This record gives sequence, C-alpha cells and structure tokens, in this order.
Amino acid sequence: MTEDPFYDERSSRDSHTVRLAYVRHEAERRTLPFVPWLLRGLAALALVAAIAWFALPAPMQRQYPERVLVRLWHQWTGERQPLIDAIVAEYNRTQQRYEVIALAIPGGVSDQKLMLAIAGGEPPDLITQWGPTAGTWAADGLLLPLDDRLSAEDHRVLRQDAYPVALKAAYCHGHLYGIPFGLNTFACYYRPDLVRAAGLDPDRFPDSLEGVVEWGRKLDRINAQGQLERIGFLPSRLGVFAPLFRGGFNQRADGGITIETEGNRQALAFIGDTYRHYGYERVVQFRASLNSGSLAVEWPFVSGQFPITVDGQWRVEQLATYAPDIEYRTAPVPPPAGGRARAGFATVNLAFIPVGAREPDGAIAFMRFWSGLQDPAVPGAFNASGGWLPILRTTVQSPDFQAFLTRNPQFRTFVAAIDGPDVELVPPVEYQVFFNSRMWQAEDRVVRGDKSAEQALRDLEAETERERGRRSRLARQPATTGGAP
Amino acid sequence: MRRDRLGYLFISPWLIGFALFTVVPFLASVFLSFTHYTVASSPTWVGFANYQTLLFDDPSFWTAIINTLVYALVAVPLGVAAAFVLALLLNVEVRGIGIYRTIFFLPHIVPVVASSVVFMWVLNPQIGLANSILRLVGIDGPAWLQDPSWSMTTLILLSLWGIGGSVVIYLAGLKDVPVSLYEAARIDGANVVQRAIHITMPMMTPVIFFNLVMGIIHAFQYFTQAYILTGGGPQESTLFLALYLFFRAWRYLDLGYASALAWIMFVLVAGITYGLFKTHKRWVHYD
Repeated sequence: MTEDPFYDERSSRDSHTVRLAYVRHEAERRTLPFVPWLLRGLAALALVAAIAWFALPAPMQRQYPERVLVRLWHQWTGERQPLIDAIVAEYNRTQQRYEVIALAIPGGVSDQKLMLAIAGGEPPDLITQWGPTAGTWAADGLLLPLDDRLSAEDHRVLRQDAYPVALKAAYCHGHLYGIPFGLNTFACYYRPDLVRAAGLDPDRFPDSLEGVVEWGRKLDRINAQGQLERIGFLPSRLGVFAPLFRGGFNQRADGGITIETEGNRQALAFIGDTYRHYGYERVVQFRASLNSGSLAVEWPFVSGQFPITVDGQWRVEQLATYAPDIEYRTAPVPPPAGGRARAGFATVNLAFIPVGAREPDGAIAFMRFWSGLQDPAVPGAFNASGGWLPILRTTVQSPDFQAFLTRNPQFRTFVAAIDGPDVELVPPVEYQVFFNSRMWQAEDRVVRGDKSAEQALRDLEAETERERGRRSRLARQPATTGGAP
Repeated sequence: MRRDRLGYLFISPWLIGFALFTVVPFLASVFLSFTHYTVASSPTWVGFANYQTLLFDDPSFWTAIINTLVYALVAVPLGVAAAFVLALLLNVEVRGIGIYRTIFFLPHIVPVVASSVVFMWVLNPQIGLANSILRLVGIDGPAWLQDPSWSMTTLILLSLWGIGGSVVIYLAGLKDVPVSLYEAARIDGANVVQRAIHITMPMMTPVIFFNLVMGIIHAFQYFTQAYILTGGGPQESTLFLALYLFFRAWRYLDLGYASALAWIMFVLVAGITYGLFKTHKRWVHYD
C-alpha cells in the first residue's frame, strides 16, 4: 500500500476518503491523454465552421429575397451562360412576384443531377433540355404534365402560332410535358472563297445532294502522305438526312418507330458510301486532328477543313460574334434525286417542371415569358442573342428578331427550313433516350463498314423492339400513340 | 467496459458512415434489383424480370461481361507481372534509386481523369505523340481509341500507367524477404535466376496473391478511363460492366435494372475471389 505513489498518508486513517481518492485517480488515469486536445481541436473546428458560415457568401445570391424563389437549371455553360443570365435578369426586372435563379448544369450530367435532386426532395422548379429526353423522362415519372397548368389561351397560341415540330416534341404519351422555347434545325454552310478557288460558282449552290457531293469532291485536299487535309463534304446525322430520302423516324400507331424503311436505308447507305469513298481510317484520322468544334473559333468550317458542312442555325450567331470576317453562305440541304425537298430535322429546346418542384406556378410564369406565350415579341431579342429559332411565327416577325435577320441574312435559310412541311425529330416515345443512342450506333456501324445499311437498320429495329418489350415487362407506362393534338 | 464505450465512440463516425452509406444501400440494392425504380416514383415489384432480361434478352450485358472478363484476364496478370518485374529492378541498390522509385510511383498519384485526358491527346491518331513517334520509324499508327480492334488493347496498355502503387507493395514485400535465405542459397551455389525462382518468387507469393485479388476486384469496377476515353465505344468494344451499369442507371433511368446488374457483378467478383482463395494454398507460401 505504501508503495502506491497515490497513497495519501493524511487520509489513511479514513478509509472512506482513501477509497474516494483512489476512484478519482482511476477515472483520471483511464481518461486518455489526448482527449482534452481532441476536444480543443473539435472546438476550434466548430469555431472555424461558425465563422465560415457567417463570413462566406451564401451559394445562392438573392437579389429580391422578398419574392418567391424559382430555381432554374439549364445546360448553357461557357460563352452561352451569360445569355441565359441576361434573360433571367430581364424577367426578374420586369415583374415583382418571382425571382428566378439560374444554375448552369452541363448537359452530360443533367439527367443524373435531376434524378438525384428528385430523390433528395430538392429538384429545381424548372429544367431545360435540348436533347431528346422528354419521352423517357415523362414515361419514367420525372416530369409534371402541364396540360392543366397552361391557360386555354396558351394552348390556343401553341396550336395556332407555334411551328408544328415544337408541339411534336413537347407532347408525349398524350400529354404536354414541356414548354418549347427555342428550335434548332440544320442546313448547309459553305465557304464561297474556297468554292471559287476550286473553280465553282458559289452563286449556284447545287440543288441536289448528288451535286453537293460532286462539289465536295472538288474541294477535297489530300497531302503527299495520302492524308486528308480537307474533306469537301462529309454527311453525318442519319436523322437529318433520312427525311430528305423520304424516310424518317416516326412513331407508329403501335408505339414503335418506323425504322426499316427504304428512305432510311438509302439515307444510311448514302452516309456510309461517302465514308467508304474516303476510307474510314483516313476519315477517323482526319477528324481526330480537328477540334471539338463546339465553339465557333474551333469549328473546322472556320478553318476551312470542312468547306461544305451541315450544321445548326446557332452557328450563324457564333460566326457573327467570333469569326465575323469569314465569308460564308447557307443553303437548305438539298434532297437527292427523287427525294423530298424542304424536308428537315429539328431539335427543340424544352423546359420541364420536375415532380416535386416547389414552385410550378412560378416556373410556368417564367416560361410563358421566355417562350413568348405571354408576349410573342419579348423573346425576339432572346432568340437573337442565342441564335435560336423562335417557337412562334409571331416572334419571328418581332422587331428585335427581324433586326437580327437583317444583320444575319444567312439565318433566313433556317427560318424557311423550320417552316417546311416535313420537319422531323426523334419521336418522344418512352424509350426515346435509348433509341437516340442506338440510332447513332447504327450509323457508326455503317460508316465503319461493319454492317450494311440494311443490316444496321434491321438490328436497330430489333434492339428497339427488345427495349420496348423490356420496358413493357417491367410494367412501365405502356406504349401509347398520343402526340400533339 | 467504459474503455470499450470510449472506443466505440471514437469510431462511431466511421461506423455510422459505414452503416448509412454502405450497409443500407447494399441491402436496399438487393430489394431494388427486384423492382422497377426510377427514383421519381416508388419501386414496383417485378420479381425476377430484371435478372431474366439481363441474362436472356440483353446482348449489351453479355458484351459487357465478355469485355470485363477479357480486361480482367489480360490486364490484371499483365499488371501483376509488370509491377513485379519493375519492383525487382527498383529493388537494386544503385545510385539515385530513390529518384527512380519516385518517378515510377508518380503516375499512381496523378488523378485518373487528368491522365486520361492527356492520353486522349497522346493517342490521337493524326496529331498524337504516339503515332508521331511511330511515324518517325515508318509505322502508320492505329486509331488507338477509335478502332474497335484496338480500343480494348489500348485500355489494357494504359492500365500499366498506374502500376506504381503495386510496385510499392512489391518493394515492401521484397524488403521483407530474409537476407539469410539468399546467403544460404549463395553458399549452396545458386545463381541470380535460381535465387529469384526459388527464393524471391515463393516468398513474394502472398504479396502477388494480394495484388491479384485486388486487381480482379478493381478490374470489375473499371470505369473512369473507359468513360472518359471511349464512352464504352467504339461498337461497345470497351463497354465494361460498371460502365453499362452506370448507363442503365443514369442514362436510361432504370435503377432497378442497374441494381440487378450490380448484383450479378458482385456475384461474379465474389465467385472469382473465392476461386482464388480456394487455390491459393497450392501456390501461396506463408512462413
């Protein structure tokens, strides 16, 4: 006992006191030496967190905190993001009830972000998409139907003034799921300077696809090593060319898609033949040397590597902004011999309200403003700024958009194209995302020479039917033939 | 008892995290694999429909299985062998060996996304460094990532880029081999090759086994490079199981189907790992 260093001589007579002292000591001994330091560290961390909480700006800056918040997710990043911010700012300036806060989400991940946000109970009030997703998202229950959220007048304007393709994209499974606010279509861009240099007359752009191919061959450039330095005309995007060949991918009455048709076969064979002419390997090598082309300054058309190309109308605005000195013209993509003139392909910028959105009314109010349903003249300036085609014919006639057309006369080609009688799109069926992806793969197989056009379409049909069957077995929303009224 | 409680208290953040983010999702995915689920609505029970479709009516699934197995069967042994040989070389005590070891380890700590983007340019068929070098010696290099007959080979070769991590483990194992064994062998007249075969290799089998098991597991989780460099293409030639799972879940919005896929993947990995453990007594030597 006396060897115990904690033996207290003075209290030794009092065994009770000794016992208490020993118990206290044991408790102290068992407390690990770093615990106080750990607690201090945690306290310091809590202090830093508290300071950061109050000192750092909130992630979402509210300019009008007294208003109802409407959260918008859109896909326009980089050079395009300020355009959306300007539209949002204009809306916030012109009314008192709502404040729209925009967040740019890269297109490639917007579906994942949306699903996670819905699962977490915090979806945005509005999400925009330019890719063909409406059919799948609607069928999978991610979106609110909007039929009853728009007024009768809104529906009337859409029916009477909107370009038909806008409605075709927005109606899925018999209901309106998206508010269209911009259109995208395709036409030929060509470089008169290079055309002249090849001994051709730029004022006489061919009126047949065969003629464009012929021009393209005269514009080709191959270096001494046999590598392609310029491809005169290289068609791609089956969806764009199929309608010109009297084909197209339309929804059938049974919910399927017209795939194995002669027009589609001819269009796919045409694309494949062009690749075969150049040699797939050489084309791959050539294309791999090019920039992505998403920005105007990187676009191979600007560098002259694709002197004739088929691209979207947004390039006009990009060229005006970033490559104003380039001499270029646009022309409708001509049909092949026996084909269908003024047939085309479009994608539609749609705004959706996800399930669980807190402010669907605010979202609708904003989209009525942006789309022109509230005032068709308003989005004229918006569409001009982004190089988008308005969804309403009245908007095209608005002063702002007419001024844009005067400044950019080449854009008129696209205005005419979108009003064509046979403008098609990837139909908004419930397996739309799957089909769109597989359609690209089918084209890829043909241009590689792995499959004939017939075989690729046959396989595409089989894959599509298999996916339809799978979805049907998994008790998804059954295939319906509902479309735009 | 009190000490036990204190211990649990300290590891409780990890325990809670493990329960919430591993155990619960793990169990939930079992249930989800028997449902149709898109997160927007409640899961609906579909029985074995997901498994049935995967196994009997989904060619892309079988493509992904084959691709993953090919990758696992080629890239993992190749990586194990290359890392082992490299470790042997880096175990030689020469001047500046620390620098060499650092150089070979560095790629392992470079973020995979960053190195993948760099390789995208290096392997560009027209203007990439790889083909430019090949052109100097008169070889017209392939379209590494764009050609289906080359894309898998390219990804397998790229897997060697990050073997620095395994090399460090082998080096640690090599340092653990008792010097007395080499000395005894030397006295018995064993040359370098004989010492490597009869001492180094057997003594290193536990480390080789560890790297093999981890390599197989990682091979079945192979995702990032394929996602960035090829996106599963061309022609599904690099569509791996993890990538297909991701597409099914997030592109085609089918989490039930993706959960079924995940469980098949799990069973495959568990089966192969079990097989390796069953055989390891025959070739892994423990002291």
